[in-house]
Amino acid sequence: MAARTILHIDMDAFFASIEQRRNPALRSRPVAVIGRGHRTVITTASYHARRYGVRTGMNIYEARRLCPQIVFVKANNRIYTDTSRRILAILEGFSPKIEPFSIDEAFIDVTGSTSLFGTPRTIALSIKKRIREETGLGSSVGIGPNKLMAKLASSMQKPDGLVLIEEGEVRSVLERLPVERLCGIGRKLAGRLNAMGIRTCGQLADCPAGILKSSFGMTGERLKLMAQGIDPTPVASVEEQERTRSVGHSITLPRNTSDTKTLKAYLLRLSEKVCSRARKHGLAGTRLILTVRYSDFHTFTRSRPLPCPTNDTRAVYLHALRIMDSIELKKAVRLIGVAMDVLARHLCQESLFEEDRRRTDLLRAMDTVNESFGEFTLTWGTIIESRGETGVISPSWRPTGARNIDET
Amino acid sequence: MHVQGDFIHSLAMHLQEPIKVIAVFDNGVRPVKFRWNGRVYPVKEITYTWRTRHGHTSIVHFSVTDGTTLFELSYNPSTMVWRIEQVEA
Repeated sequence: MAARTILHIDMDAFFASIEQRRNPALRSRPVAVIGRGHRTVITTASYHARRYGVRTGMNIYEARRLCPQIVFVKANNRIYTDTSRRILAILEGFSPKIEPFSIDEAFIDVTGSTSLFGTPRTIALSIKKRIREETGLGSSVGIGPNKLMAKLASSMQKPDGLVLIEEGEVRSVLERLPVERLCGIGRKLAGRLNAMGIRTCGQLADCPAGILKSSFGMTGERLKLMAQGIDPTPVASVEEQERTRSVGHSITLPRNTSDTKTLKAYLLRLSEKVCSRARKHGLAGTRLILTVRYSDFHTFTRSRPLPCPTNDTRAVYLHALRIMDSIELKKAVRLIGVAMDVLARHLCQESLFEEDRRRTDLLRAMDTVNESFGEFTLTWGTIIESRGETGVISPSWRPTGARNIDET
Repeated sequence: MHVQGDFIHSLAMHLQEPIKVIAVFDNGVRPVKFRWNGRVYPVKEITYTWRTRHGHTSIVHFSVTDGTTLFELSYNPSTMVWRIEQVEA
């Protein structure tokens, strides 16, 4: 593969920084953004708050104990998603190869852009400047020969950082780096590696491939490549990521519940979200996947094939209900999600039956109204009460496309 | 358990009232003054702007301050209606 230059842009304390821009009274104070509803977990803390040990995922009681003067702000998801779109629009001015990684991170392949915009460092500085001018927000940029190294570089100097890892420096940078610093090696995996006596990327790179393969299967081979700083995965746009895959939507409930009626209402809401998006993009699902997360964060999925490819809300909802009925809930539910594996595209075969055609016309009419006047303007009576609720932004949020998961 | 955390957002008043605004339309739109509850408020700083979609309409939101209070104003270009959405003490 020819040499590449990849940038990873990582916004600094994204949600908290936006709140501090929005409200001048917060600018000199430690701030933590928390979920809406009755959620009390911190989604982002400002750098001021982090100095006291406040971290993402911590509950507000713990944060308050560490930093008594902290200010909690409830999340404003619509502002965050719009800001993310504006930042991606800035990146599009530098290269067509952009991969949103989450709401506040993106990769950009600038291999072909240097003749137009200067060296990778110049491009990185220009991007940081444009983001600050247009949003008032700070960002950190990592530059590397691939996505893995660019992501590592952006984490090495924060906030307002700019780190370049040249191809020739990769080995020395990784030699003593703890394995868990690499994107893709989580706490569990790092624990297993540590138990084998592997703590640094250098040790992982030196470990015989056979041992890694026997311990981790296919992942073992990839781990060895990662430890050597090798990552051939391309920067894939949202559209490229979506060529297959699934359409899904999940919501963290305002409060944990075991109430069947409430859960059914959310299932219908999620089914409508997933199906209306599938209809918009001419997709039909072939398998339905239901995700449930309990109050203790234990998460599991159940899936079943759909009888025929569909994007009809009622069919998907009834199928989701059947899956739900087969589950014996052991705890209150914190999060629920509906997703469809998509194999059929541009499904346009007309049904032979009058009733089916009328349903298709009805859904088309609903979609047209909701497209013009906003989602859930025309919807089922059982979900009217919950249509204005917002949830937590999913890590898989993307700004466009069928996978666009817009919790606003 | 009671937490004495400072919940800025819980101090917000949600209004969604139509209001009259003096604005400059020049490469976008920018509110300059607005009248609410019989009083005129100067916009000393636009602290943040963002857009939301409502069907085909893209509504522009402004966080603005008169120096003491934070307001959220919105402008719907298709109806040309300004609203005061929220006031934070």
